[in-house]
Amino acid sequence: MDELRVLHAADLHVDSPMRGLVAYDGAPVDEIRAATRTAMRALVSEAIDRQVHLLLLAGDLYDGGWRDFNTGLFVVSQLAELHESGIPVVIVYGNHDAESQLTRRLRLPPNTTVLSSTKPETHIFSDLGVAVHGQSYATRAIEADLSLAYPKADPGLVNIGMLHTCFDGSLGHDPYAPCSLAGLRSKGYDYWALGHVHDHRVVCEDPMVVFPGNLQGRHIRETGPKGATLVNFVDHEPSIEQLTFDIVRWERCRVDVTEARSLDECLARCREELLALSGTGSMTYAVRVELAGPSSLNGRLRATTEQITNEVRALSLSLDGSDVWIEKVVVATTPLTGRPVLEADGVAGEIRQVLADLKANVSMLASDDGSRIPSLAALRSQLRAASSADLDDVLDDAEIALALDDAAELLATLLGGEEIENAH
Amino acid sequence: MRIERLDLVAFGNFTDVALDLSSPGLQVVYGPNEAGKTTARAAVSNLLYDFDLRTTYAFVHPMSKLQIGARLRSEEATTLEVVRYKRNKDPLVEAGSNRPVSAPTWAGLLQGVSRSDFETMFTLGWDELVRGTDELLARGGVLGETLFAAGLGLRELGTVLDRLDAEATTLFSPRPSAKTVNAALKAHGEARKHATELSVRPSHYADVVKDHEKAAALQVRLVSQRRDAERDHERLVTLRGVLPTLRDRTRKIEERAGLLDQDPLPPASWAERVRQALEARGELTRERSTVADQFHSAEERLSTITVDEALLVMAERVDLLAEGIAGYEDGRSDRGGLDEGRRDAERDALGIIGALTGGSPGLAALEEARTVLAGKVAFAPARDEWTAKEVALERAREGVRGFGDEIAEIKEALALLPEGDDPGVLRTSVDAALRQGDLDGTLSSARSALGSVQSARLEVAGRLGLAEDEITDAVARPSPSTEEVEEILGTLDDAAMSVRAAKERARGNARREGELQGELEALALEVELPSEDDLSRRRQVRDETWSLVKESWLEHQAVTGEGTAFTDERALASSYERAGTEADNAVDRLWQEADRTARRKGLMAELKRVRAEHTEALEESRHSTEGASAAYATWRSGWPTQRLPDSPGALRQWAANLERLRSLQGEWTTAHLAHREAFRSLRAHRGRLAELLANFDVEITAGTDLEPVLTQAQALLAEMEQRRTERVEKEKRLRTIERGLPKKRAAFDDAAAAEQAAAAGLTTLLGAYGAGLASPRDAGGVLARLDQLERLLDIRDSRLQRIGGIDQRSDAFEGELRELLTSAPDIAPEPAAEAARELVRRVKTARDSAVARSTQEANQASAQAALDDADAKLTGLRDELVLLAGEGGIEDIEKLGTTADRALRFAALGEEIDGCDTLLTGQGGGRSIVELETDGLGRDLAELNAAIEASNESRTNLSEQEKEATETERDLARQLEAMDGSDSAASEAARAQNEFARAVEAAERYTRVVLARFIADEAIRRYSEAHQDPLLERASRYLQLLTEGGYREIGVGEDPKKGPRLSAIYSSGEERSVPQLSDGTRDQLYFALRLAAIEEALGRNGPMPVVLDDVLVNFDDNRARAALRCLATLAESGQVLLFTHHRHVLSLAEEVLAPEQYTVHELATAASRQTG
Repeated sequence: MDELRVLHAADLHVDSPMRGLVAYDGAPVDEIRAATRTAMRALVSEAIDRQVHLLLLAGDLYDGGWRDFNTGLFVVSQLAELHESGIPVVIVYGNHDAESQLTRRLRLPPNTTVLSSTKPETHIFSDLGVAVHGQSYATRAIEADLSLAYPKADPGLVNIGMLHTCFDGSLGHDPYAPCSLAGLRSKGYDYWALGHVHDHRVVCEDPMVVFPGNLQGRHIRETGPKGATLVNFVDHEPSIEQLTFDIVRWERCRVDVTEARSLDECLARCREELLALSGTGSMTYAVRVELAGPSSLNGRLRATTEQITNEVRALSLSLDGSDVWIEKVVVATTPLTGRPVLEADGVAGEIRQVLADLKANVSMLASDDGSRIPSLAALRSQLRAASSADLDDVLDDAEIALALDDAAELLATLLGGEEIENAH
Repeated sequence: MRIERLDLVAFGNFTDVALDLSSPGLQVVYGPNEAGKTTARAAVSNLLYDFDLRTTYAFVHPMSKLQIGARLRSEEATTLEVVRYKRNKDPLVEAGSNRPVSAPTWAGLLQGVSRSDFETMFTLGWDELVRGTDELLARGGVLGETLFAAGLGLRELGTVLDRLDAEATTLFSPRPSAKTVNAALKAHGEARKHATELSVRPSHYADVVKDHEKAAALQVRLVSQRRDAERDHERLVTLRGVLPTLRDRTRKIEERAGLLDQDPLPPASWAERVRQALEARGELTRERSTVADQFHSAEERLSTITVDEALLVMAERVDLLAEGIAGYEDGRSDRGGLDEGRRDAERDALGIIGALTGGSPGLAALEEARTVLAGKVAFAPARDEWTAKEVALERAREGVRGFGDEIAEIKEALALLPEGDDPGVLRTSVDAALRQGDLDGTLSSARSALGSVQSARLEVAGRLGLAEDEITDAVARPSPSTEEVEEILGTLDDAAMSVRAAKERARGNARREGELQGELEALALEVELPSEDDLSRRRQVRDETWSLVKESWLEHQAVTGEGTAFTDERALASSYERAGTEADNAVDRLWQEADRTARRKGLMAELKRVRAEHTEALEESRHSTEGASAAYATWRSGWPTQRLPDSPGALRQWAANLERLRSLQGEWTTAHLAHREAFRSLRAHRGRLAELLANFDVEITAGTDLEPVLTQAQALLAEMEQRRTERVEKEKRLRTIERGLPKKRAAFDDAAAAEQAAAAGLTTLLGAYGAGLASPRDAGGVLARLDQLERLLDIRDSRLQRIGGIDQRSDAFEGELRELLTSAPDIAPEPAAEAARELVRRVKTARDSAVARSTQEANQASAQAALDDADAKLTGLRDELVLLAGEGGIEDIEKLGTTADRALRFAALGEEIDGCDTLLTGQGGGRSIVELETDGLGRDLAELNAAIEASNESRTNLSEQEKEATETERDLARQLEAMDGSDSAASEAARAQNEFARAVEAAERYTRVVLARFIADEAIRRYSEAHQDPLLERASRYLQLLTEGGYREIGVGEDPKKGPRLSAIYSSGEERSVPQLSDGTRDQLYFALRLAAIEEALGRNGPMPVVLDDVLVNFDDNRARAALRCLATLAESGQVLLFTHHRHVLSLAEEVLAPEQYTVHELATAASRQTG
């Protein structure tokens, strides 16, 4: 075979919900709810259109705690479409799949091979001249280097290794199935199809070691384009092309409001930046707007964050081109040099002294044990009880410390005699 | 720091006005309204802390020309003369040298007091005093809050705290509630629960699949069993159905075999012919016997019939007699009644004649009466004429009487309708008002239009920062046209586009820089390199191994040895290969490193270039921005009389607003004129109508509208005109009647004469009928009696005529009867009707007997002919039977029938057996007759029924089981179908995440609010702890001074529920809480607290100007005097500027202060400054 086309994807997390988005009138709710499914459909459609020879899914097809079997049935339906087009699929299960009950009950179509979770398994596609090596997770927490037991490359075939791994731990994900570049290289494979890290990374080009990133970002920590990696082998030499499949793109939009003299001008700056981001395409964006820079409006902005948020959301609805869903508006401005609002005498000085003391001991404000503001402790407790386990940072001390700054500015602005509604 | 002189060079409506504030003591700045007192006050903070960004004091002098100067004296007694301009660069300079005042120098003069602190702590206006006092009362004088607010000059601390509490309350409650956070969390929980409900558990799916497979298999098995049972049931039912036929067929076969045992058995065709001949003979024999019976019967009947020929001869005359019997009897019956009627008529007629003549007349009088009746022809017209004349007379009388009555009525009505009241003037006024249309509506519309235009005009003026009295002037001033505005905006847009392009280029460069950095970092990640020593060592190993290989292969020497990596030639070959590969790899890696080095250099060069471009783009952006700002500033300075906006962004709106204002100014002028015109017109018409109505004593409806007065005038006018028309018509009618009255009277006289003549004629005619009939009124009774007499005489004549006819017809009938009875002497002649009827009956009997005799004679002849025909046919049939017997070989023809029957039975059995076969073939369900015979002939029907019953039961059971299994399978299939990979649960989970995000967002807001409240509480607590005692001590002193000793000090009372509260203590020791104080005392309490705080701040920060604006406005004279003394005291520790527009404050100051304790500065009004 002169050219072999392999599509490599990972971390689909099908039906995993988008997090942190408050639905408001005009927000593109429908587009966002089915994003992970739509992204997978696009992946399958692209595989068929490009007539790839093989599709590799390197773990985490599902969210671990998600128990709706319909999700599994949807995945099976997509694999069945590939089957009808004669495209084989190889899967290694990742930590989330190992936790998921869906993987144990599904009947996969004949074109789909799930590599063993008890030991490394090699699946040879004689007609393609390809050997795929890999091992699925048996349990969620695999701390051993699974790659050590992988077999050596099979001479004469294109050798591809599949592994769901945190790599060497330097990429900042859960430390599962760590491995080393030297270890991977020692196997003599032509391509390593990795999963688990949600950003697209080319760890090494010789041999090619690639994380394709997840197929669809799900929260503000998963920004930028998301998709899969198309690998073209010519005489065993791989070259890659990164394809995007995300339906909703998460972005942080930093808006420098240094020059702005009024809230209207701040909004105009937001509009400019959002227009530059959204362009004229048809992509849906979930955007966190961060107002930044030294600003004479620092105090006013911090005191009117809700109003600014609503204004930015309203203006996002009037943008041409892509749909934009404002996830949040963060005021991260600083006071203008020489005019620190909270460094004066008078009421501002009084507030500043209290603020300094409180920031030195933030943990006491909303601690479970003896909080100085019991209602805040109750709020934190209720939010954490309602959230899923990986959202323990909701209303943590760091957030409260940031909120203290805003609260002080809010108080100073109110006591300064200006009505918030008339602030601009 | 003190302000020794304030130079209002160009600020507000001040031009080159200087206030010398250098003297010690209280500085009282007096100015009436419009003098610029507020402007002067604002000038102090503008001088110290720069002009406001969007200052409202550039309405006379353009923004760029605003200028305030001052001579200041520091705490160290050094002086500094400064000028402040409204500009970005060097706004504050030293007077004379124009050198910028350094920031440290200025900060030292301001002594660390920020603008907001200066404006809150060192300035106090009467409105702030009022608000502070109100809040003091509203919050009940809470100690900490009050000290915090008064000490720091906060005007609405309580409002802010309440606002924070209120917002926190709407957002969250630790207990379940409908607050924003709680509601979102609840919605989140519900959505998660719903998602779980919508989810399909994997184990559930597996169970359903398994169950479905089982159910499908069971269904297949039951279908097979049920079909077997149905086939068996069908076989048994078929068998039961054909069993009678089977048995019948067997029996017939046996019978046919029996017939073959007897001889002879002629063919069925012969037997058929015999059967037909025998049947014909039998039929003919029966027919002959019947005909013979008919012949004998006719013969017997003829012998019994006799006919009366004599009666038959006169039968037609008897028929005519019979027709007259009923008429004869009716005439005899009617004759008596007619005769009685005749007698009654005669009696009544005689009675009438007697009444008219006064006697008892006999029948002869009836004939005489006919003569009298002939005279009635003249009598009736005479009576009719008299009646007509009498009616005419009555009408004439009524005509005369009616005219008299009407004349009286009209005269009476005219007496009640006064003359005068000319409506002409009122009509003219009303018509004039009506011609003006709806003046109320016009005025209202004009007023509304004026209001709308005025609102719009003021709104647009407000947007332009113009007061109402400035509008006329503003629209008249020269200003840039729309084209000029668009031109400068176009220039600015071009600059903005350049900025954006440069920034975009900078962003692209930044991205590229990041990519290059990434590539450089990736290059650094490469693997470790071999050293030269390592390479040499590997090459040495390879060479040594190659030597061994050569020894082994070329020199055939043994190469195994201790300590080596090989033991035989194969291992040696492998070892060589490995050594060679390792050496090659080391070389390769070194080459790769060389490549990387070259690549790194290339990347570094590109990185440098990109950074340079990045810097260049940013510089270009900055340059464009500054260029745009400068262009705009230059352009603006070309329109000095107009207040152009600071921001180009607002320029287009400003131009549109000014254009709009011009348009509205025109509309306003037009609307104003229209309103004035409408008002004047309405007032004129209303006044005229009111005056006229008053002349007619009509009370006018209150108000200013025209419509009610107009309505009243129209009503009065209508009433007047109606009265006038009515009088004219009545006078006209009176004249007409008076002219016609003599004619009426003459007609009455004529009618009376005619009536008398007619009455005389009639009375004459009456005299012919009887005595005493002298009045014409008797004529009616006489005429009625004559009519009745005439009818009675007609009745009598009619009755006599009918009686004569009856008697004549009775005599003729009886004569004819007597003549016919001569041929029937045995019939009694009387009574005549009965005798006639008997005669008719006998004639009928004679006629019937004659007809019966003719019938019987015909029957007898017909029977004789039929007998003869039957006898001939019987002879022929006997001959045919003899021939058939011969054909069949039978000697006795009487046995022909038996033999023919047997032959026919044989043939019939053959056909019946064929029929059975056909039936069995049709009903046998495809089974042969032999199979059916084998299966069925030996079986008992009861046994068969039992087997069918059992089979049926089995079939039903299986069918029910199958149905149940099918339903189960379908239900499971439906469940599987519903598990179609839908995303409903996922959508619900997504919705739950939306709700959670909403809760988090609201929680963040709540956190800010609750933290703000907490910070406030902490600040209040700390401030109170640090400042309570000295502040209260100072404030007590001031309160004592302000109340001239009425109150001794400010105390702190403890409210058991709400904590410490401020109070005021009388000189007598009596303590009063804040709510118990009078309004004035509360003002003084708050004023004392503020003065104490100012004094403390002056002590803390050093002397600063203290600006007080009309703070004594609510004080009575005594307390104002006390306050002035306090301010003079305060002025000893700092500079105090008291602005006031009450001249009596100057008088009070003169009363209570020594001349050296205060200085008065008077500000002239703007108008007088301009004229002066």
